Amino acid sequence: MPQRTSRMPIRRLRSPGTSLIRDTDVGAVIGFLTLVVVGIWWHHGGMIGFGNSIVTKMTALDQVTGLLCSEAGLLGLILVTRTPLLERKYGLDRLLNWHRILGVAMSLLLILHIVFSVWAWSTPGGVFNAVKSLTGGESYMALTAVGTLIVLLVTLSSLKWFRNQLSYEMWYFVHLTVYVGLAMSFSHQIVLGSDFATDKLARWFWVGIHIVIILWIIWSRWGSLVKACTRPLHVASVTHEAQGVTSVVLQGSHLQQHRAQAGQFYLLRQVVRGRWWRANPFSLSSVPTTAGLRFTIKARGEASEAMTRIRVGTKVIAEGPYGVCTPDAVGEKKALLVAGGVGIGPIVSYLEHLTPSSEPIVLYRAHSNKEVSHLEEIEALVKERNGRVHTLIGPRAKLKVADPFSPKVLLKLIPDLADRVVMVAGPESMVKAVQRGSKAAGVPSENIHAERAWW
Amino acid sequence: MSQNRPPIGRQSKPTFARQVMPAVVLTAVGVGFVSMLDGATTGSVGLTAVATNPIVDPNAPTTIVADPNTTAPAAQPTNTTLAPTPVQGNSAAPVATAAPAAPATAAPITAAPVTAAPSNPGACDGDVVASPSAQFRYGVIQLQTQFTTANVLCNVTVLQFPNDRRTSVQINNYALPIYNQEAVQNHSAKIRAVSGATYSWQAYVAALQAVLDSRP
Repeated sequence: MPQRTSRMPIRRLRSPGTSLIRDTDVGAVIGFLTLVVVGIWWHHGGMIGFGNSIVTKMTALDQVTGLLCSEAGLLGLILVTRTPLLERKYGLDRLLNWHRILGVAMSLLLILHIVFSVWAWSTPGGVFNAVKSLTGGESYMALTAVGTLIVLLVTLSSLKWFRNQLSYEMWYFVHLTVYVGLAMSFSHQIVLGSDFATDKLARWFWVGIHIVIILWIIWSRWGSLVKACTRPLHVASVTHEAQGVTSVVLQGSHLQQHRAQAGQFYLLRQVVRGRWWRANPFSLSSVPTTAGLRFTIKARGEASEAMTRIRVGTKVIAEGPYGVCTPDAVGEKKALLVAGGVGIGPIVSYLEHLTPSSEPIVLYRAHSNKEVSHLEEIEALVKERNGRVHTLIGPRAKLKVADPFSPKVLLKLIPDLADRVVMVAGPESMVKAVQRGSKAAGVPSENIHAERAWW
Repeated sequence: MSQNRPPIGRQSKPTFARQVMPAVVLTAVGVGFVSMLDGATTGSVGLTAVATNPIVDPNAPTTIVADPNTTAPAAQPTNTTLAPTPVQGNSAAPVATAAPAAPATAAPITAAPVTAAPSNPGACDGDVVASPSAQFRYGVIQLQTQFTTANVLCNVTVLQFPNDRRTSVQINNYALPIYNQEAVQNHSAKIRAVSGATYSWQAYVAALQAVLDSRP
């Protein structure tokens, strides 16, 4: 627990509010947008084209793929607003994953749109002339061609393989240019896109939703950034926990107004030259209180390594909290908490939040004793809650069993496993093994909760 | 990645109405909005009319450029004359049957006053050919073309264009004269599209190209 440093009474931070959004609402909005977008095309006679020549067929297809491509882009932009409406329902990691999927979908539709357009324009005159018209001959098409290229490059740079070749900074700034690319491509939709060029109502609808989404991004995304910047926290203490593992406590007078809960994470940026522009995700490793937010950080990459070397007093801008994997999931049930390596951070915060009725069992997996952190703290917390701790320490080859998370091993250790809520935090491979094992051991999948490895 | 995570603070189970209402309302709004948009033309006809014998309704308010050729019936096939040249006078074709031996002389008599002497190869007094009608998304475009005796495209007028929607009329009134002018200037179907009139452009080019392809 963070040390008490002020005279204010320490209390837990209030929990963030519940989102009013339901799955069905999300479905309804996506359905509405698709209905309108395809409806505009349909009502303008999109289908008539199919009865005619190859040119009209291709024109109809280029139109509808273009519209759907824009729709995918707009939905992807809504996700990066990080609006609490969606974030508190689904969690930022899930939103960003959907953003990636939509990005890929958008690019595939974009490629189809290009193919159909060139095809449609190449009669008569040939492919070369079509390309010439579509990259400069037509008004605004030079602009659009550049914009399209940017959008495709951004998608390419975000594919796993290319993403791994790029430094974070490189990827980040390439990714930001997508706004420029989208803006450049927008021009041709209004000027050349027959659905909007010729129909005032459709045009205003289209311009309207773009304006709404731009304002939404400014309000929600930039707004939260501005808010975080005007209420910076500072490093109150830095504790060496284990080899390469440090816990950092952030404090600030604004914490009183903060809402956060165990299991959530923040995007932290050190206000230090050369680092202020990049934010990295870190999970809370204790229940957040007015006394401070504690993060347990392992030096795994350049950014987290820099975070472990942070000095006391450094200003930190904390955006968040994000994430919906919280101990609320346990409810009245009993709990099994599985931690892998530095995944112990969020597990400690869950544990603190749980009541004795949950009789928590903690499985702590680490590669060596040097990595183990917070063990005494956990033992004390577990004791208070009628639970127990099992540690699995050592490289995989040296463990007594081949797969410590096989259903057989898990059930032998925890006979009432099927009645428990399982919460996992750790490396992806371990999370998957636990999910697989506990499912096979009879835990319903809605009772298995996993946090992506942020730390 | 996670599965089935709980919402923060737990949501209560929504009622059926709560689940269905947004979809119903948004669907109604969407359908209402789409039906308020300008509709497309209905009753689409075949892809191409017969090029050799186009049906042109002189009363149809479809012509854009005032031209004497468009008000008269289109040219008849030229095989009524015995003359070896396929060159036909302008639109007053039936007259030619009266003077089979001298088809060229028939033209000046009934030609529009602007028509120059037929012997001038640069004059626009050759074949008049109606294009097939090019069907596209918003309707039909059909052109009437005229060639010089040297078989060079020298005049294009629009016989039909979509005029059932206000926006179509607006766009086409603006764009089609530009296309006509460019076609005559370039003597070909190599025409640049006018912004906002891309579909008309495609149909126009398709119609014109069909005529040019049918020429020797």
